[in-house]
Amino acid sequence: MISKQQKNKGIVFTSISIIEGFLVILVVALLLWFSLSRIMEIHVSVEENLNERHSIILANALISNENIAYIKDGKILRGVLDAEKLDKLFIKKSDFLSNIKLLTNDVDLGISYPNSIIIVLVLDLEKCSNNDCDGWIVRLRSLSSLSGISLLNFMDCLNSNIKVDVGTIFRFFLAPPLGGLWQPWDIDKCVKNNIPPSFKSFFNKNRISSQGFPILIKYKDSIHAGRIFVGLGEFI
Amino acid sequence: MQENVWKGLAASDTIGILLVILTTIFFLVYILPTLFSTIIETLARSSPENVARQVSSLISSSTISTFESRIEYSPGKDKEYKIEIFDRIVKVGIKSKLAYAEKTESKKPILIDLSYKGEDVNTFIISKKFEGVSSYDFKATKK
Repeated sequence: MISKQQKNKGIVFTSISIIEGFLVILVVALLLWFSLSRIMEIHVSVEENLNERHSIILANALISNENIAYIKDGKILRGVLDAEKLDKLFIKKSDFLSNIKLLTNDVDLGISYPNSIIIVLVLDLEKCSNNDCDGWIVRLRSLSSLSGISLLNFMDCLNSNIKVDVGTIFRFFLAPPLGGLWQPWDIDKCVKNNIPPSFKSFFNKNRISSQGFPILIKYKDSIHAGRIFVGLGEFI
Repeated sequence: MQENVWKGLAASDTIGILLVILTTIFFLVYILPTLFSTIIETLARSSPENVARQVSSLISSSTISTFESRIEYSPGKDKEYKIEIFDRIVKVGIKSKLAYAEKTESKKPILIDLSYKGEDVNTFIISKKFEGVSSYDFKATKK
């Protein structure tokens, strides 16, 4: 009789310890859920090359932009740029050599990222000789909400360090490892002297958008194959 | 006899403890990571950082359309946001029961000129129309 009672007592003890264990798990789970959803603040950080993403979006937006794209019967032909519009808005290769101050003059196409330095280059791949292609270049107007940044000084600094050998410049866009509009140390020097440390440059990166996007260039009586390149530097 | 009873008691206690240990292992290996990832995923998806990033990308991407487009984005029906668009910047904040969380907001750049201010919203609609000139419209509502 006594032993039966003690056996039952054992079963009761076991049930209690199991229930206690489950309760502990439940309390821990509740505490975790409560701390994660009500007390803790979770910040999302996404690792990405923001400049590259913005360059890709901007290049895509530019090839659909009515200011430079070819319009037929009131419809934008995406990816087909109008040579006449480019002549009016962009600076041609020949003028680029004679007017080295082009970067201090900007053009408003209605689209650009704020607090950025954006340089757009369009190349006609069917007008090339000795790895040197004809093309257009422009700096897009960008709204600036930042104070204390000497953007003009920065552009002057870039102008003074720009390569006048256009052949080399265009070869960069065709084959990036060969060189660039600026040498990396030139940009670094200009950034160091005029721009706060939060400046992120994409001018010398060899990623997707620095390879350019394929486009067509519509002349009066012909269509040529070309590429568009977007160089971007952002104050983040 | 008494020894046997203690033996039984010890054995049933061991079984109980083993059961609890097994459940704990199951909880730690299967349920806890799922619970964690679900909570973090839900919080991340509806965070102001993510919403600002999505809204700014969608607004900028709407420029790619050559004729007409309408993009609707809803990060979560049980969340409420405040949004402000100015100087080609999108600023998103989340409405929270916690006072300090109200301060959590994120700013992202956009490609076009838009102006908007809205509170207690969870659905964002971006429209573009091209009729000789591109025009854009942004609305935010509560659904």
